[in-house]
Amino acid sequence: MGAVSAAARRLRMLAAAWLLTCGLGASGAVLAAATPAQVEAVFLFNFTQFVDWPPEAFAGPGSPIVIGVLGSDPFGAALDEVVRGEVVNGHPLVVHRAQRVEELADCQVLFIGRSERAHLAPVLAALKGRNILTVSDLDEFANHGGMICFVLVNNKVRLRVNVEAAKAAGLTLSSKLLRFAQIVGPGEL
Amino acid sequence: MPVRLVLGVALALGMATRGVAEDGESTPTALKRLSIEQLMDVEVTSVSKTRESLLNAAAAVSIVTDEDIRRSGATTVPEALRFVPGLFVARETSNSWSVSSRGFSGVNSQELLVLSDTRSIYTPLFSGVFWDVQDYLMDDIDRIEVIRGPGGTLWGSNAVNGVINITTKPAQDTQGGYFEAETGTQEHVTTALRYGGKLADDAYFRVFGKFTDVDAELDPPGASPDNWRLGHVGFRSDWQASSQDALTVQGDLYDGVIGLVEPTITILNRPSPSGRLQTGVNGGNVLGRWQHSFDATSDMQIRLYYDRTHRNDPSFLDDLDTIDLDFQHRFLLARRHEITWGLSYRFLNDRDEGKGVFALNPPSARDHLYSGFVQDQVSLGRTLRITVGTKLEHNDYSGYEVQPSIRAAWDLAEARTFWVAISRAVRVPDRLERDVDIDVTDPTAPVVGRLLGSRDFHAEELLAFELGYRWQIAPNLSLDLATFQNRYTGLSSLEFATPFVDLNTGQTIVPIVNRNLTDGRADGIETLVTYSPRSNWRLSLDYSYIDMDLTAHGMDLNRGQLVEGSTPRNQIGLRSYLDLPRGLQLDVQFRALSALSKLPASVTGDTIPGYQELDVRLGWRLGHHTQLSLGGQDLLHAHHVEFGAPYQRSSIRRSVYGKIAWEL
Repeated sequence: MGAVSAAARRLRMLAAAWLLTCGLGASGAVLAAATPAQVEAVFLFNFTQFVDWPPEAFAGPGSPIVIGVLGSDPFGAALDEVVRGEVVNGHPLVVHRAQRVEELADCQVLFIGRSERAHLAPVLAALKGRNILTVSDLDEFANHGGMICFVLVNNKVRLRVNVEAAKAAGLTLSSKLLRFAQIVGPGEL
Repeated sequence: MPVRLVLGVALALGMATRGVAEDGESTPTALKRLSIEQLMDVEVTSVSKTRESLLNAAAAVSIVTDEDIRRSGATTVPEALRFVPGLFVARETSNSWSVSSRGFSGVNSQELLVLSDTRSIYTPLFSGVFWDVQDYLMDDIDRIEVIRGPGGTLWGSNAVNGVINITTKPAQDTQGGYFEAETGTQEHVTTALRYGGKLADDAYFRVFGKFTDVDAELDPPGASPDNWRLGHVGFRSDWQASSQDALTVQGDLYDGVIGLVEPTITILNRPSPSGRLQTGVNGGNVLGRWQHSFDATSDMQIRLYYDRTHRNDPSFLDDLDTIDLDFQHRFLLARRHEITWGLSYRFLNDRDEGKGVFALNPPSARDHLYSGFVQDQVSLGRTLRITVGTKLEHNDYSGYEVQPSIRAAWDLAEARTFWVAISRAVRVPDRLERDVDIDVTDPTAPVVGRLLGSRDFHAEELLAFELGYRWQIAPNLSLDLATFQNRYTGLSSLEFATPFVDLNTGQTIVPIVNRNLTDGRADGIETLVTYSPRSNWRLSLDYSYIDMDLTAHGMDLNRGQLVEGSTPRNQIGLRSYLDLPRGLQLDVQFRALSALSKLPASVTGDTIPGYQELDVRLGWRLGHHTQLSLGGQDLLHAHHVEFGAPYQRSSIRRSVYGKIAWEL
């Protein structure tokens, strides 16, 4: 009896140690349940904390950070749930959805849905000169002038970042974000 | 069987609404607590989200992902394609497969083009693919895109009923060490070793070696065994030279021995090779590709490859060298026209020495293929996309060929796309059809029947009408439906030609040549439903129906018309991939196929009965580095036949395998 329970205890301790060393306490619980859209929604939220907008990007110091979703929306309620009640540097977060890029001219982060694949060039052209972080999961979006592209690698969501495009829009991306992203522009880290 | 399909869909629909409501709202909140690094490590499951850009296309497209391949337990590309709707995959022997799209099944399925990282593996010798030498470290495959229906406008000749694009992972996705070993009741051993590293900033490489040794299936009595072995080494390097330039260089070398049940070429009443029948195979290729993007809306690609294949078959010795240069450019015109155009040139140098009765005349041939294409994708409003294009090519077999198509996709509502297409495609004659020279009767008799190549045989033509509908019903449920009517004219048939007297021998020669005297049509429906009842459970149901009717207007001496019955009228497949706690995965695949009612190669009239089979795989991830798999394939019967005439087919045995993959 004693030997069995000692062995069981050792196993439990090993399991706890493993969780600690891997730092996966939190992610372990959600590992099995996440969809790409859920993970991407959380990334969008994180971007608001790791991107510096110039002051002129906002109407005022307390005006919201608007996350725009253009065209088909993969997130559903997940994105609303993620940003609900969140305030970043004094800016409350809100989500706007629209089918036309003109209606999203005042957003700070713009996610471009898959329905815009054929219109990618005019959409990106319409955003030129604005302080908007463009994000999409369309293939090679980052290589085509978009700023951050979600790519699925081995069933994990990875980031491809075009630093140059972000810089051209007056945005500064934190090294905390870039450290784990694949950089597709020649900009410095 | 159609009745069962309808039931399946209704069931899936009913379950979907429940699944969505049930799914916890807490997942996004839990994910918020993770750091960026941890977030990137979260494994996600998705029903059909991967690489969706192709799925917007106005064409019947299916994608086999790397996960599908891993979970199917497939060790070869044909096995990985079994659950693609519209395709028919049948294993004739241990090392030969019929892979066909929308009919025309055969060990050389002439109407299907196959590309490996854009390199054509369709042989111009016989028309078809030598699947026995298409070896991959399966973990290197990123995805397999299957476009059913004509792809001639973009891909050129022989993409009549479909195109298969096998794409391997970029080197940055296979970094570190990797080792796998597999053994089982059919496989003696498959083992592979890979190493990926970094050459410089943004420059990565991988090298690998693989060895396969597979046992014979249940061969026909007295036949030569169909066991085989193959060694393969290869590399790939990818360099992001600048934000606008990407370079890829890759290559392979292989060498092996393939056992044949039957000689590749058998002429009734003429001597054929006997004893142990083996084909010595070796070859290699090297490919370079430069992609350059000018700006957000325009880019170009230049690709060059050299490919060499050597086959020492008991019936012939063939050496083929191919050099292929391809250029493509894409740009935006007047804001709404996305123009893609390209030019390509292919040089083929083939030397074929017949052994015994088989001969090509002349034994050596150098052929050139020039082609160009242009395609315009116009966006009309926000919901309608029209794609118009054509390919123009010149080949040394049939001269100029034009392959136009018009396609339209209409986004009816969010996540619902309706598409329609009309296209023309051709299959050009192959070397065998042009240059064959075989006496099919006693060559010393006063009158001799002689199979001769013909320069008058021209390309086979297809006019195809397609309709399709894709509906992402819910985030976890999708439907893909495609229908087609194909009209074929000038399909090949063997016919007697005017006899002549050979002045050297005084014999009367009765030529038998290929002519374009068979016409016909094929209608079909293909559907795929994918459903994820829980985030750790994926289900898919595929169903394909085809009805084919060919009419021989000539004598059709080779019974080619019978190919109308060599594809199952009904095919159904059901897959379930389930993630269990403790890193366990339980994967089940079931398929049911109706009978092959006619086979051109079966002179006795024997056909293939319908069959059902089941594969099961149990995967177990041990920590971060090790993955174990234990599986059984074709479990329902001790053995079963899938394709071919009785004397040339093996019966495929039930098999069990174990595999370890170790990643560092």
